[in-house]
Amino acid sequence: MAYFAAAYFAAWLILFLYVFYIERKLALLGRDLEHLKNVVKRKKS
Amino acid sequence: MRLKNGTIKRCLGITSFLGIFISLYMAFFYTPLDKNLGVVQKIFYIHFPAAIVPYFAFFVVLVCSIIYLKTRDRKWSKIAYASAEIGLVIDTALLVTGTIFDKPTWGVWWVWEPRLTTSLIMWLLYAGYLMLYYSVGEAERRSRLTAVYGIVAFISVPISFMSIRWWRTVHPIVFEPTKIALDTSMWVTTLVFLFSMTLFYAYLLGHRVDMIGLQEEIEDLKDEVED
Repeated sequence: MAYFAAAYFAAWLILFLYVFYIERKLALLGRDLEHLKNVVKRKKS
Repeated sequence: MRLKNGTIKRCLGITSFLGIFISLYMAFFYTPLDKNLGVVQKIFYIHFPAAIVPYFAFFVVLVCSIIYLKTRDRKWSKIAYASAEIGLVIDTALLVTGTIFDKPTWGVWWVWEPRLTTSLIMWLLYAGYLMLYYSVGEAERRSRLTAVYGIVAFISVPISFMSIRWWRTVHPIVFEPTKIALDTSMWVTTLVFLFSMTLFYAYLLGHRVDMIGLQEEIEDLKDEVED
């Protein structure tokens, strides 16, 4: 039972950490992009 | 390249997560307990898709690399990279579940037998692919080098897949052309799990390609700000 639980826990931990990384990174990149767009807009005006 | 329609991505996400929950339910409650291995055998339901989906992901790397070298369109290079990364993550889950599966069934955490050894070599080769991607700065050169590497590294996939058929090994052959070594509920659950994991891979691929697109857009804007 311990091996079974450990295998499922480990597999889902790896996959969900990766999903978390992608979601978090996408959110941060989206924020950076908005900020840079505003900087470019200000620079042009 | 971005997956333009957000609805497709949302649908893929919902379907894959739903599919995974159904697969888990089937693995825990629908399939019978194995007479010899007991509950430990249920590791197989996650171990098998974690083996097949990386093969598919690395096949996508191969196809996209070939298309990139023919067309020089960088969107194929981005898909190839995203697929390699996701394949490697799922392959890590395969190696981890595999070693945990080995201990109660074979009595050891790791054996240097053909399937395990070739799987580890495959993992190392695609880890090398990611290292190569990040070590080359110039985008065109990086795409060209990783495309060639992606094609060469794919040799490890059929070798890993066929290793249990080519060489003497302790690893079981579950699916053979003439017979399947599982009862109906077991292989149905395995196929549902495999389908759900493939959808999950597609969902991740869409997001990862988006992320690369955003990173490049940010780099371009940074150049514009600095100029």
